Amino acid sequence: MKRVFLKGIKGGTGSTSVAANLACAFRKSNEDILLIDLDPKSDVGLHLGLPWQHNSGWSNFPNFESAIEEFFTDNDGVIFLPYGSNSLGIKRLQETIAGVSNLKTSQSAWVIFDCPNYIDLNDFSFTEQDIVLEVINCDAICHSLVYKRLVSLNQATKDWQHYFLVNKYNSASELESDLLQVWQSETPLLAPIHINKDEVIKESTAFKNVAVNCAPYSVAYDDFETLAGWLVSKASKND
Amino acid sequence: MIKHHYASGVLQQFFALILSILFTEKLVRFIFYKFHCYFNQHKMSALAAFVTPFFLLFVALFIKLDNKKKQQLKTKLSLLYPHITSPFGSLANFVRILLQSVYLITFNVTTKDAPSRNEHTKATARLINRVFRIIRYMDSKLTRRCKKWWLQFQKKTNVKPLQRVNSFNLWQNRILKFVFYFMLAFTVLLFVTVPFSLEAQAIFISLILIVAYSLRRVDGQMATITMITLAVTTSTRYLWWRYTDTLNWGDPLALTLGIGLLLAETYAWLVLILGFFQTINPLHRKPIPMDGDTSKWPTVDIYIPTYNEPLNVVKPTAIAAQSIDWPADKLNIYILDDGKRPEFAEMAKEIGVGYLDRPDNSHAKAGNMNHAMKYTDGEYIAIFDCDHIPARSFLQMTMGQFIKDEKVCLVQTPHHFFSADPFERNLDNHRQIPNENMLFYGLIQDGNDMWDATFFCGSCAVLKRKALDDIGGFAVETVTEDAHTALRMQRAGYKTAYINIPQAAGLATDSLSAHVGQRIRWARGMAQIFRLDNPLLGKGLSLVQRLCYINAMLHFLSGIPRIVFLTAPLALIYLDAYIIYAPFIAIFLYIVPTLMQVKITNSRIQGKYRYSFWGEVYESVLAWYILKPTTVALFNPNKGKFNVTEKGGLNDVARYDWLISKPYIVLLLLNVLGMCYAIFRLIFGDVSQIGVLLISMLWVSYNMMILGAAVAVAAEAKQVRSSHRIKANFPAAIRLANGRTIKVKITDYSDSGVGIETVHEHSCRENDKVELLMSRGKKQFSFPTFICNTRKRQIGLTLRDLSLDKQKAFIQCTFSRADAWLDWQDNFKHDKPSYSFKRVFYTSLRGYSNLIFHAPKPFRPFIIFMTNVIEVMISLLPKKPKKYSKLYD
Amino acid sequence: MHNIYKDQSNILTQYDIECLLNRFGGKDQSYIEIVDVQKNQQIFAKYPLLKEISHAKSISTLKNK
Repeated sequence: MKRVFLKGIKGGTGSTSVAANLACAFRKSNEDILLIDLDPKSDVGLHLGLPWQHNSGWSNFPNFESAIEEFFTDNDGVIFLPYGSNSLGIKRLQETIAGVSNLKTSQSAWVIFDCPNYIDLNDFSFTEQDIVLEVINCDAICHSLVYKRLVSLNQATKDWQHYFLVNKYNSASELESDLLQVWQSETPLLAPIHINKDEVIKESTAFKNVAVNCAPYSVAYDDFETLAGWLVSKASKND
Repeated sequence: MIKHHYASGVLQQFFALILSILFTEKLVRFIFYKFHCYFNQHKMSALAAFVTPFFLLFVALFIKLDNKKKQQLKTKLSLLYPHITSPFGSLANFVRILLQSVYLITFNVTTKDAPSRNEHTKATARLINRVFRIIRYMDSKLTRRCKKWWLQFQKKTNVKPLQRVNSFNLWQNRILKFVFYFMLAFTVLLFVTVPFSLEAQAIFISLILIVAYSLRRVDGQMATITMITLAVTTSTRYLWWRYTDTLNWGDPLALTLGIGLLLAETYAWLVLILGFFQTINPLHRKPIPMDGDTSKWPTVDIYIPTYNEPLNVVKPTAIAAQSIDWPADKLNIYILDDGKRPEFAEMAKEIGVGYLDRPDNSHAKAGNMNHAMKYTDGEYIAIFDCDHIPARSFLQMTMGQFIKDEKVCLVQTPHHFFSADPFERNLDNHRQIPNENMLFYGLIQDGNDMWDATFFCGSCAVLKRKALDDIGGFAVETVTEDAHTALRMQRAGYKTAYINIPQAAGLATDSLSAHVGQRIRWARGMAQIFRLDNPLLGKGLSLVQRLCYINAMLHFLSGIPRIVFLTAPLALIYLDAYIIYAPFIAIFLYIVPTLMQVKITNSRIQGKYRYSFWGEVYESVLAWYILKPTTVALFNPNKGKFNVTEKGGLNDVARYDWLISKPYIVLLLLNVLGMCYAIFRLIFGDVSQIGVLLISMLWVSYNMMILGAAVAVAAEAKQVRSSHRIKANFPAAIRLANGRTIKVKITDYSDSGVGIETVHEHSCRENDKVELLMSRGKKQFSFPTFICNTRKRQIGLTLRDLSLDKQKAFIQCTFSRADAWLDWQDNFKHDKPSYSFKRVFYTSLRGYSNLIFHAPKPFRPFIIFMTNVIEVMISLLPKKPKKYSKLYD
Repeated sequence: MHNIYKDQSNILTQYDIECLLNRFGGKDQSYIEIVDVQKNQQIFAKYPLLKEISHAKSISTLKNK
């Protein structure tokens, strides 16, 4: 089982839609995929066609084992677990991650965790195979946060593979292209792929779907496919 | 008017009165009706119109003509006389009817569709078709069988004992070597000189031809070498025969002309042998990757010399040079402006490159670069003509050679042109027939590289400063400083390298006159080098290098021999001079097979880079023009300038360059008149001469074909230079105004626009604003564009008012892509002589029609008159009656 | 194997062309992309925040050394 943790470096970076699209992109190439919502906003389900009124999830159950019933499968075959409506502490998050990891799945299955942006990565136990993608946007705040994060990553010993993933990149903006230029040439740990800003990502959520399904001829489709491909190549290097 | 009308009214009443005496009222009305019909509609004369109704009435007494029968008769007549025009009663129609009637009477022709006969022709066609198919099948079978035999033979020879024999020390023995070489030379001498009877020659040459023919498509070096050996043997034998057997010592005129032809043939033979030698084993050098540590990379200066080229040509080159992948602190770009134009200095400052000018313009380009060398200090110097846009991988592709071998002083890459050169444009065969450059950059330079004799071509190359310093800078003595510089460096013991990967592309010359002017400069420069710094003499070069240089120079001396070949057969026709003094059958047995043999061999070696017969066309165009400068430069290397005035710029209308085609037209007229005279002699002349006359006529018609194609080149096609669209195929994307993105494929681009193709039909409309997203490596750029035209899946985008940064980015994403020019040689299939002959033939026909349609004004009335006369004459001739189609039965 | 490749194309083997495309078509990371140092300096100069961060960063790396 290969674990990918997606979190925004701050709120509103679009990490949830990246998670949902990435999951579907993996399905397109016939990988087994589990998508676990760890964010109390509990909105992953909306991308995958879960009814709006459905607001229970694993947090509504006393422990992970009892929440097994809450797993859903969407039309593409993405298996996902919504968060639910209870706010829970860090302990339950750790339990859930551990519970998912102990599930009997195939060796090659992927698990994507959509994490809230405020969690501290050091609270979780990662292995060297785990990939953490921290979603950033091309703006000055993210620039500052990235360098702060780099400092903290340098100081602590990290066990996981950490990458920054640029989302909503708009190359027509001067600031954004300048920032990406600096990052690409200077910032370590920047993923070699970025997700372009694309209206279809927003639109497809309104259609209760993901861009990968709605717009096969869009750049977004390519971006997520490349991202999935890159992750596969990373994982195969780990093996 | 009124009076006249009144008078005709009276006249009509008068006639009516008279007629009513003779005929009934109905018939009178009929006569008047017919008269009006004939007079007004059929435009007959008054008398004829008056008489014909009576004639009709008379005929009606004997034949009953009702409407239906009349209609049938009319159709029948219109079928039998298809070319009768209205007005019916003209003199020409009279002649037509007469001739046609005679024809119809003498030959039995029907208007009925004759199925039996049609069937017959179809059967014949099928038979011919089948025969052709059988021949082709046999041919392919034979070729395949030969391939198989050849492979088996090779496998067998690859066995170990042979290798052991091969590695014997015995072979290193000098005396033995000498003996072997001697024996080889003796055998060759024997083969070449032994006199054959005609029958023996026939058998010998046909055997060799069969071998060559069947080997021509067998892959591999060995087959090539075998074919070359055969071609060398036959051609040498031919030349020996010419020298010993065919000179007419009895007739001084024929002797002089014969020796002239013989010398031209000797020249051709020499070029052939040297060419074989040069291209026998092309090196195909591979690029050597650079070491990952960029801090160890050497510093490079890029020179962009310019003199009078417009700013918008130089700017993209400078920008592309800036974006070459090389550490910025080790890359310096300089525009060397001999025009001393302030706007260039400004542009250089704006985009951030160096600008150098100098007080005088001495020694042109070479002087310019020598001057720049004083003010710059890079370890290597890369040179781009100001219209050659480099790819960003240029330095990483080439510099590895210097790092690997420090004796290397020059790495040359091919000159590639994305626009059509005058030949391609005027003959409309861009990307269909390999152009003139292709042979040199595709094959000859690679062959030269094998012998370490790569030429420096003045652009798209990197040189080592130390080597240049050793020889005192760029050579300034000749007008081709490039070739001379390389020659000097090679004399100084440096090595040169060639990498056959296009890493820069530019605009070809605008007009034929500019093209010819450029070739004149090269020819003159080569002749100058030959005199001032003869590569055959002097120190420092190996024998093979000398031979390669000599071949290059000989190539530019082709003027006189080419003109000799184009006029030689006329000697017999006009002057009755037997320049090849041999019986008809001997001439036939020696010349034709030898030529075929050489053509087959050349087609095999050069097939991808030069199609058969096109070399003759290119050479014929230049022959006259390089004749004078080379000859003068050979006798006095420092004298005179022969530059044809450059007209340059745009051809906004199609026109014909009479000035430049004058010599070929003269040659053409000579040949055409010769042909007519030969036909005259064939009919009325001595019967014993028919054989030689026929051979001469064959030769003349070949010359006429080549000259026709040469004349066709002079018809300058209309061209718009401002935006050359370059075909492309790489992915990109667009973002519409509503924020959605679409993946697209870029199909073509120019400096101001891009053509794209979407996967599905799109909903874009003209004048929409869209963002074009293109990437270069990891980096992605966005360009604001407008849609200028849309078709189903195609969209045309224009770029407007890009900022400097965006301009740079655009050039990086398009012109200077590393893979932008990689597919240039893959477009061409291997040469097929028959196909190539057809192309030249059609081009030639086009040349003749060009001559007629572009004729100068004074001739125009005459030509129009003549065409009219011919048209009328043809229209008088009897025609085949139209077939009566069954549809209307 | 080598010989077979050589015979396919006279100029560049298919393998060579693919290599070139991989290296320069942006598919592979091994091509030596030259960092545009100058360009980055210009960008830092343009935005005060970036300048501050890069300044702070260079000081901290100096300290670490």
